[in-house]
Order: sequence, then C-alpha cells, then structure tokens
Amino acid sequence: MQEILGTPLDYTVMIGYFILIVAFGSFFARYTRTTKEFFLGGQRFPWWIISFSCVATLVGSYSFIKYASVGYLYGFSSTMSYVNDIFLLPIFMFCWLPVIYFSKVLSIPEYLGKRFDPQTRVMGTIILIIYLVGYVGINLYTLGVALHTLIGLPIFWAAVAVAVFATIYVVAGGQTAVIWTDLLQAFILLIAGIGLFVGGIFFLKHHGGFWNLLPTGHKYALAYFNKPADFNFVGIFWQDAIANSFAFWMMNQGIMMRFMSAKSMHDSRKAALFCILVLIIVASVTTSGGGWIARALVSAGLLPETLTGKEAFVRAAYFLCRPGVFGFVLAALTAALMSTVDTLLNATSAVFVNDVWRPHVVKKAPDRHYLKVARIACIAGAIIGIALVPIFMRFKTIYAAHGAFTATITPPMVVAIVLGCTWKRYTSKAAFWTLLGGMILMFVSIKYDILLTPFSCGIPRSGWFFIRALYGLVVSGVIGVVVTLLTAPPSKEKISGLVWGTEREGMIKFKGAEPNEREGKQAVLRIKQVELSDEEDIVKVSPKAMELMQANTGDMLYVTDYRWWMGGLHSTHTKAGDPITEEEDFDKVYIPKVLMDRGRFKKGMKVRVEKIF
Amino acid sequence: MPTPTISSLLYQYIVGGVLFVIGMILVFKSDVVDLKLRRYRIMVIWLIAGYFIYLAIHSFFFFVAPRL
Repeated sequence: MQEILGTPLDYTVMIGYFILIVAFGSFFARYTRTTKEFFLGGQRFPWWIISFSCVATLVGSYSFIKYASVGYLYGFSSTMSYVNDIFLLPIFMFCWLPVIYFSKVLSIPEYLGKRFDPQTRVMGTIILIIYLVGYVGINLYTLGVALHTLIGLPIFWAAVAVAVFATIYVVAGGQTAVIWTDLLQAFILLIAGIGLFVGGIFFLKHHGGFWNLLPTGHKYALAYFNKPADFNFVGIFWQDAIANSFAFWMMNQGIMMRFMSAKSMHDSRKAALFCILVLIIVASVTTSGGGWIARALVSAGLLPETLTGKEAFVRAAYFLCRPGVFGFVLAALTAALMSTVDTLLNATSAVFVNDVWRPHVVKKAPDRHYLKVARIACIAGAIIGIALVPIFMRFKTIYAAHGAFTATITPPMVVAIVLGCTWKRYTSKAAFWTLLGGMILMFVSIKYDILLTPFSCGIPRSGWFFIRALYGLVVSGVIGVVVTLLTAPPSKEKISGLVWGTEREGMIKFKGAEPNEREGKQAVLRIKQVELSDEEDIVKVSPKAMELMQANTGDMLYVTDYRWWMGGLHSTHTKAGDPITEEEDFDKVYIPKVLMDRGRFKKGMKVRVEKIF
Repeated sequence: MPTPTISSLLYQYIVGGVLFVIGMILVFKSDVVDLKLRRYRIMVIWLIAGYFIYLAIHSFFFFVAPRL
C-alpha cells in the first residue's frame, strides 16, 4: 500500500499557501484595464522583478523531482541542464531582445508574420498553440502525479485544484499578477530548495560530513562525454545547452512577454544578465540539492540503499524537515507548477487574441472587447489543459506524443527565429521551409533513427534521442541557408527594425524620433497635477532636472513611485515637454490628469523620473 | 558511471565558445552598442566575465573538487 507522507499541519501550510497566492495575485486586478496591461503588465517593471520571476517560470513542477533524481544518481553533473545558458546570452540580449522590444510585437507568430509572411505566421501560430496548451496539460499532469505520490490526492483533482487557483489570478490580474506571484513563488522555491540543501549539510556535519559522504564520481560538474546512454555530456549539451536553452529564451511566448514587460530595453537586458549569471546557478542548486543530500544520507546509512532517484527529493525533505516545514517544501513544489502554468495561460491567451482572434475573427473592436476575449481564452486554455490530464493518464502514448512533438518543433523553430533575428539575407520562403522541412525531417528521424548516425558522437544507440536536437539544428539550418541563397533577399524596408543591424531603425520607430543615448541620472521630484493645453501625453520638469537626466524635449521618460520596492506598480512612460519656467516649482514634475490616472499617481507624491532614450 | 574526462569540459567551452564568440561579434558590430557609453561597456564586461565565471566553476568542479 502506498505510504502517505506529511501531517495535517503540512497540509494546512500548503492550503494556506494556495490561498495566499490567489489573494496576492487577484489583488493586481486593479492594475489591469487594457490588453497591453493584461499581456505586458503595462511595460512598467524593473529588471529585478523580471529576473526573479523568470526563475520561477524556469523551474517547472517536475524540476525538483527530475533534477534531484539526476543529482542523486550522478551528482553535481545534474546541473548540466541549467548551467550553460551563457553561450546564447549575447545573441539573446543584443539581437533578439531589441528586435522584439522595439518592434512592439506581442507574440512570436506576430514577429514571424512581420519578419517573413502571413503563411509563416499561421504555421507559427498553430505550432505554438498546440505546444502551449499541451504544455499546460503536461505540467498539471506531472504535479498531479507528484501530489498523488506525496499525499495521496487523486491525480485529476490535484491538477484541477492547481489549475483553478492559477486561472483565478491570471484572469484577474493578467501579466502583472503573473509577474508578482512568480516573484513571490521564486522566493519560496529558492528558500525551500537552498534551505533543504544547507540544512542537510549542517545535519550531516555530525554524520561524517556532506563532502566526505558524497562519492568522488558525484563531485564532477560535467558527465562523461558519451556514456552511459541515458546520461552523457554531449547529448545533454546539444539537447539542453543549445536547443532547449534557445527554445526557452527565444521561442517561449511567456518568456518573451516577460522581457517585453520591462520598463526599458536596458532593464530587459539587465534582467537577462542577472538571471543567467546568478539566478540560474542558484536555481540549479535549488532543484538538485535535495538529490545530493539524499545521496549523502544514504552513504551515512540514514536512508536505505534501495532509495530510487525519483524518491530522492521527497525522502530527503521528509527526513530532514519537521512537520509544517515539510508542508512548506510541498508548497514550493506547487509554486514551481503554478508559476509555470500561469505564464503558459497568459501566453496562450496572447497568441490566441493576437494571432487568431484579432486578425481572423473580429478585426476592429474596442480594446475592452479583446481584453474580455483574452480572459476567456485564459479560462479555455486551463480547461483544455485539465481535459488533457485524464487523456495523459489513460494514453501514455499521447503524453509521449506531445513530448515527441515538442522535440520535433523545437530545432526548426529555434533555427527560424535565430536566423530571422541575426541574418538580414534570410528570406520568407527559407523560414517557411525551415519550419516545414525541419519538422518533416525530425519526424522521419523518429521513424528511421539511422539518420542520426553521423551525429551520434559515440553515444550508444539507445541514447540517440538526446542527439536528435543536433540533427534537427543541422538539417533545419541547412534548409534555411540553401533556400535563402536560392531566393531573392528581402527588401531593406521589409526587415527594418526586425533583424540585427537594423535595431537603430527599430529604436527610431519605437520613439518616433532620433534616440538620445546620453547618460544621465534619475531626478527625484514631487508631482504637481496640471492642465497641459497643447498635448496631454507629456510631463514637464525643471531645466536642472532635464540637465541631470541629460534629456531633451520630446525624449521618452519613465516616471515611477519613489519607493523602489513597489516595482513600478505606480508608473508610466511619457515624453518630456518644454522645461518648467516657474522657479518655485523646480522641485516638481508637472503631470496632466490623464497620466495621473495611467500611472496611478497621487498629488504631491514623490517620484523618480528617468530618461529612457 | 565512467569518470568524466577533460573532453567534456573542452567540448563545452570550445563549441559553446564558438557560439559565444559569434554572439559577441554581433554585439561589437551592432549599430546600437556604443562602448563609449558606460551602460553598454559594463554589460559587455559582464558578458565576457560571465563566460569565464562559468568556465571557472566547471573547471573547479573538474580539477579541484573531486580531489578535495
């Protein structure tokens, strides 16, 4: 009979956590009045919120179980899947981010449509919607399985409960709720994972010491090059470090929206840098640490030798935690799921509204219509995700099929996006055939794995599925390059602002004028509400403040609450008007009513004003 | 499981390094990155430092940690 872990106190902590998250997320409903706010949170967030919330999205419901299992079996090399994103960082920060940010696209298919043609956009839309909705289902299913194993909840009802909680706050607060709840959930995840790891190290001090108890082979951060078949370096390098990392950062609609929610391009880049240089390393310890501790506990004779990888995280946590604390660890597991599912629901809704509803069903309607559709699409995405759970439970082949589908679409999509944003010569036809031809050849390789032979790198045949990513990248890349060279290059106007080398044109389009990149400082001022007669979407500051910010009339400004920890909730973008001439108001910023409402400011409020560009 | 050899470390930082260098070339040739401006300079420095930080971490857990 299955052993149920946890005490009533643990379950109380977990339920309390659910209620806290839903209440916290729903609070942000007041900050969501337009589709821009629903999908991009009004583009008001500083880098640190974006960075932490990305970690919560990165760590999925399966991460604790999966990576702790790998850590238990193979040691520090379990971090290989996470600690390798540095290689793509220059392309992500300086090619992809400026293109999507300045071109104001709302979705990956929209980018494909603008950069290439409507045909490629339709294909991108179909691929992404299947991927996203299926991924919601998989996340719900894996958490259902985890909760069933831990506390005996039926898989389906555990999935329903989590989906309902996540949907409530996503529908209410959109991207703002997603980002703020993910920030909170990131802290929960990191505290639980690191706490378990550090607590385990302290506990093991009296039993021989963590380091001494860990087998020598577990102390390598990279695995053996091409063996064993199910865990080798080169396969994981191509699958995770290259294909999946590019997919996560550049193909993931939710992540794209997250970076577009930053208050400026600079904050967007800073968020990416901090996330990859610092937080991902911490996240890898968070998810794997339980497995390393479990291995040391087994060596110390405190856990049975028969412990399996899948049990490692839960058993180590249960062994080390007191009642109530274990409930906190369970909450971290569910936090990992909710923070992934909420992002996926918001992303699915964005693709549906932006690439299906608006271009094909209701072309011109007031923004509130699209906001309503966005909320309905979120609920529909959750319902489909829940409906997939029993299907995944009953037909393991469908579950496997979605995994195969994801593996199949990833390399061609990654190649199309990377070439699209880095190579001016890359053509629409080439993009279309990269996607279609790449997917066909990926499917063929599943049927005839002999095609993977030249890419096998000496991996035993049973582990060739790892190397399919390399095969997919190569064949899709070859198709892309060959078709590009056989077709006429796109016009300069067509790709302006949409590819590396044209970012400046994108900046000009975004601002509507030449960018001013002189480096200035923030001005701290008090709000004075005024009636501005000529144009309403401007603010006015003193000549001294203009000089401090190195700003000119017409430059883009960002006005935000003085309290940094408010994270831009009270903020707005605007333009600099002519400087104030009244000397008694030199410590003030003149703001018209329309911006007072948009930024949710109060009269006399202390704010920071900075020039964006 | 066989003991890892240096080929994993070399492969990661040579093949990954090629991708990183291509990215850095695009950064240096970008029409918006002006290295005279402090904000771009700092980011580029951190990017390059990041590569070596990753290399240092992996080297430590290859050459030093298993022998401690």
